[in-house]
Amino acid sequence: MELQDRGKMHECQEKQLAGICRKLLDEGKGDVILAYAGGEIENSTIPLFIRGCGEIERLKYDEYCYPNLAKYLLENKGKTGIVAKPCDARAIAMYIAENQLARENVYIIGMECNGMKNMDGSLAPGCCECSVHVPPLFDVLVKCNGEVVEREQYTNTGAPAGYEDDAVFNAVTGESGNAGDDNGVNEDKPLEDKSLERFKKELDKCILCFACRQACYGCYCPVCFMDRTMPAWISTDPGMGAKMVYHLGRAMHLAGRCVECGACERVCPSGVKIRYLIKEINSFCKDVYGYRAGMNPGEYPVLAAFNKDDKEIGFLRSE
Amino acid sequence: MDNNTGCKPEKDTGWEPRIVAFLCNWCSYAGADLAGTGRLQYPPSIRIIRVPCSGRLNPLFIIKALAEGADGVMVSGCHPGDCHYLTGNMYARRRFVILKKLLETAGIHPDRVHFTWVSASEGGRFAEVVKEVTERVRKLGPSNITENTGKI
Ligand code: SF4
Ligand code: SF4
Repeated sequence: MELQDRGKMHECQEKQLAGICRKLLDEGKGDVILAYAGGEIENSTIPLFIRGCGEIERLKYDEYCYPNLAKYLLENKGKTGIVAKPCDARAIAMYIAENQLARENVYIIGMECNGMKNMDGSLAPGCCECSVHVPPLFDVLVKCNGEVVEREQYTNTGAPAGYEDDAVFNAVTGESGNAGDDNGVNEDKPLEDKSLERFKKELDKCILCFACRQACYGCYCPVCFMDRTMPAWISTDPGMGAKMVYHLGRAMHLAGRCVECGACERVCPSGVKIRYLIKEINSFCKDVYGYRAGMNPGEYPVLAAFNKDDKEIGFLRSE
Repeated sequence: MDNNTGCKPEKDTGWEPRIVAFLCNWCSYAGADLAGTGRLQYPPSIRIIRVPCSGRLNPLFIIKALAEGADGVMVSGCHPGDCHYLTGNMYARRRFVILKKLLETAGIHPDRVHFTWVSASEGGRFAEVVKEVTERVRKLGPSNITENTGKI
């Protein structure tokens, strides 16, 4: 897709979005709507909490709407509307699956999405390899061409609720563009290098600031294991061991729950690229257990369920 | 390794693997007991930690053990279907499979971490398992994962 087309696409979506928000407020379907506003820095957006029609003026939707807003939902107990890209919608579906959120308390304005950009114009971290272009869960969908579809209408057409791969996406939208194409380079393709050196090289850069944890939709524990003192999982002198406990521990907590939004990588101040661990586990869960995070809010997360005949891959002397 | 374990260090290198073993109370720990009362020989390389169930095992235990310098980790529970708490080891099984994959991705050799099932009547199997695990870890040499090698 040409860059200009993309700009136009977001303009159409933005216009529709403003209309939908106004309607929502009028109908009282949400006390607050989570959306995006332009940031002070060029090519950035910040979260916008729309409580009245005045705030709708500030609404913005362009290719820099990379933040994942889903985590704010956990802080609001009332009815909330939210502008959700596919990865945000998957996060919401996970919250519902994990009983953190009631479906009736959230009104999801799904946005068909072709990938967001970093401030420097390159494709944002999770978007490079993203294959879900339509939110798997929404109440109303704003398509790339600006068309607005209600959920009932959408399911009546028999279209799948969340495209799994580009082939379906392209067949449905009739275009060949996908997230990876304009920028060509795709730095973090699933990596072959699974060496300890690589892992340690990334750990070396980490300063344990926990920005990745704060940004992740899935890290919502009231007290993170890294902040515990009883037991203290890390020593007061954080070295390689502490970083290892943190990153492997977090990867384990996100195993099969990561919605591939890339937020952790985007917010890291020291450019740590350790998401490959979680990505690998995600594709493993998909292959072995047929589970993909956030595609179905009615499904148990992979580690919260079991099957009597689960394979014992890598077990010693398994019969 | 010091003498209170009653073992002699390997002659040439002086190094013996130190393996942390998490055994479930109801099967594997009893299995280890049976191996003991049956006077079965197995290498003294393991340090046993008793847990109520393999499902009690927080993956962080294993990660932490490795980060603290253990040369290997071994986990054993009841065979699937025999869990004292009915489903504990079923949940644990998925967790272990995924954890092992994760550690492998991070570059930690798969032979450093072992999961298996040993029932209370399988003293012989327990001794065999410990022998096998020790041999595999011995081949890999001392842990290269963190700077804590040899501290535990
Ligand atoms: S681990 Fe990273 S990519 Fe996955 S859901 Fe959390 S922030 Fe997003
Ligand atoms: S954001 Fe980066 S530096 Fe901070 S804890 Fe996460 S990986 Fe480490």
